[in-house]
Amino acid sequence: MKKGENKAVKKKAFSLSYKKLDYEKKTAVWGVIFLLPWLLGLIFFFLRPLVNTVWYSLCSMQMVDGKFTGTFTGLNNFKYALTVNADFTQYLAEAFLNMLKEVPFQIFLALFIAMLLNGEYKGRGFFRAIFVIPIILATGVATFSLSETSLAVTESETVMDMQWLTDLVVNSGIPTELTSLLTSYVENIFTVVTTCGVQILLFLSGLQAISPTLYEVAQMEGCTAFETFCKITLPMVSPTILVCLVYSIAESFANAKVSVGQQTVALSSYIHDVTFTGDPMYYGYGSAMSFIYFAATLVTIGVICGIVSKGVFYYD
Amino acid sequence: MTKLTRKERMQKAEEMAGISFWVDLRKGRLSKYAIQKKVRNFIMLFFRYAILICLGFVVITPLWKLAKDALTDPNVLADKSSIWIPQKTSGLFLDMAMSKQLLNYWGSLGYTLLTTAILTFLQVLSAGLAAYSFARLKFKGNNILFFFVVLTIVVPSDGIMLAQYAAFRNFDIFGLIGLITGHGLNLIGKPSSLYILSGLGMGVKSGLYIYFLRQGVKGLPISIEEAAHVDGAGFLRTFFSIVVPSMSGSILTVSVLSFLWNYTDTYYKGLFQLGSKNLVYNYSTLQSNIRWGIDAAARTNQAWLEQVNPSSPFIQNSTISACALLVVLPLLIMYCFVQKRFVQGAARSGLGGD
Repeated sequence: MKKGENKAVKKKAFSLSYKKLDYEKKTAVWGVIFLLPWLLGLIFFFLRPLVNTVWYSLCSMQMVDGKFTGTFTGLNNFKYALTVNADFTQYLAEAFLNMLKEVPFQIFLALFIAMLLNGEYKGRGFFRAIFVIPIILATGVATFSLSETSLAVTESETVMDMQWLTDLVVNSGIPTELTSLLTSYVENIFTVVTTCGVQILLFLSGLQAISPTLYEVAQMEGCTAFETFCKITLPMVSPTILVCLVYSIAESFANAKVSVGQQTVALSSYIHDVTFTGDPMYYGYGSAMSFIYFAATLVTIGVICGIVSKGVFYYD
Repeated sequence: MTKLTRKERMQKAEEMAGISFWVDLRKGRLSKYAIQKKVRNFIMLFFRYAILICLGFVVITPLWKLAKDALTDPNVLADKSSIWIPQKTSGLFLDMAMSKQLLNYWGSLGYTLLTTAILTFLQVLSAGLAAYSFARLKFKGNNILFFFVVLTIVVPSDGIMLAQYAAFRNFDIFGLIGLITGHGLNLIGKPSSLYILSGLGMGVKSGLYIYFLRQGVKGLPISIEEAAHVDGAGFLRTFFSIVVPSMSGSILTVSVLSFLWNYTDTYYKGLFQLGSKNLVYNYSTLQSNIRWGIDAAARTNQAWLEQVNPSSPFIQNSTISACALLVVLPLLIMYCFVQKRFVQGAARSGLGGD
């Protein structure tokens, strides 16, 4: 008897109308509804293919009668990539170190340029329009190579001669590791500017979202420009810094260049070559390498952003 | 009461009036501090322009060279004495690039812009909904799911392309379409395949937009939304009439990026065979057979035939430059109009107590 009652109560609870749900549960329901489109896309167009890649990486793939068949070999492919192949781990380390060198400078420069672009000054529309060009050019639309004959014009263009600065810094007695890093930044400043178009745009939008009243208050209280930057601008754009970090690290890994023998090749194309130009045997091995590659990127992003997000300021 | 001298009294009165800091009343000229401030502002402005002009020069150079190659007269192409401005300009290469044999510019521009606009709208909508859900509408597993957003940013699309192709070759929603017609729909070659992908938040770089918009939502003070809920607005209404307007800056940025990347994307257009009418895709395929393109285009016009030699590398270079310029131009024009709308956010002003 009691059991039956319980069931009835449960049924009643189940058929409770949406209106009687408490606020938290309603929030959860709407959370799922808002997320539904993305969730469907994730499952059908992202996770399914990704699981395939993971499965391949655990198999030794073979071509039998024009069909791929995999035989499960466990972690063999991973072991091979990490312990037997002497190059791969070295390439990963190279990509990682390169990222460490590149990304902070990119973020710093992007924030700096965005702050310059942000204020009130004549011709700001013009300058803002100019700094969207790097994003367009980075997509490769305007870069082309002629297949038949290449133009025999090899212009060695250096925008600025930085040799004197290098000499000055090298001879100043500061440790060489530091000076080489510094001079490489200065020499590459123009190439870095052309790679941080997206970050500039994101920062510009982040800066614009800061209420001008905050700056007014700071001025009334007598803050110096540096204090205003540290106490207002930096905390308010810190969420944007996090996004830019994720984007920059992901892009840096995705475009990582490594030196294979005499040439510099993109790490992704190295993996692609191993996967598709070798035996079908290598298909599983290539999948394992790309899996390690994603995992390395993810772990890096996780660790760095985990640290940075402690300092990020949110309103709630 | 101590007696003050006349000078001291004067000073005190000025200080109380709060003007002596800026203007020396007795002498009728700017005070020391005001001059200091003016000089400082001038130096700041000078450096701002100096740095912006230098960096702007670097950024604009490739585009300038493109334009220079595209606008040079075919007869003076080999002349190396002019680096920045062509000795003699002509619109011949632009005209040729617009012709049916090469880009078919006016025929495909409208279609390309329209499909890109639809893709942008769908992508921003799905990203915005997902971002709001991640930032505010917490439910169990929310954070784990957000990990997958980062995963979609990290994993490059060529790792999953085959499976995506297969999914649209035989498109089905939980087997429903299969029940009615017996087999899934073939959406390859139809723009709806890309619409579905973008609408479901898996378009070009969707993960980045979700992440960025989520940060934007988290930056908003929650009190406005709470006030809306208390006043009886539903979740949809709160999102569309409170959150979206107060994040218009972030949404505009994401829309610009989305439009830009969808416009220039040729990877998905190639994968789903949507290229035939698409301007940018046509341009990207043109690069490998530019010689035959120039040849075919030149045959349609006597003047071009006389001036253009399809096998000359200079002519090929200039023609492709003209094509690239024409492809990039709509984006630049669009951005020039849009950037005016980047205005200072006002969402947080007028909120006491936050």
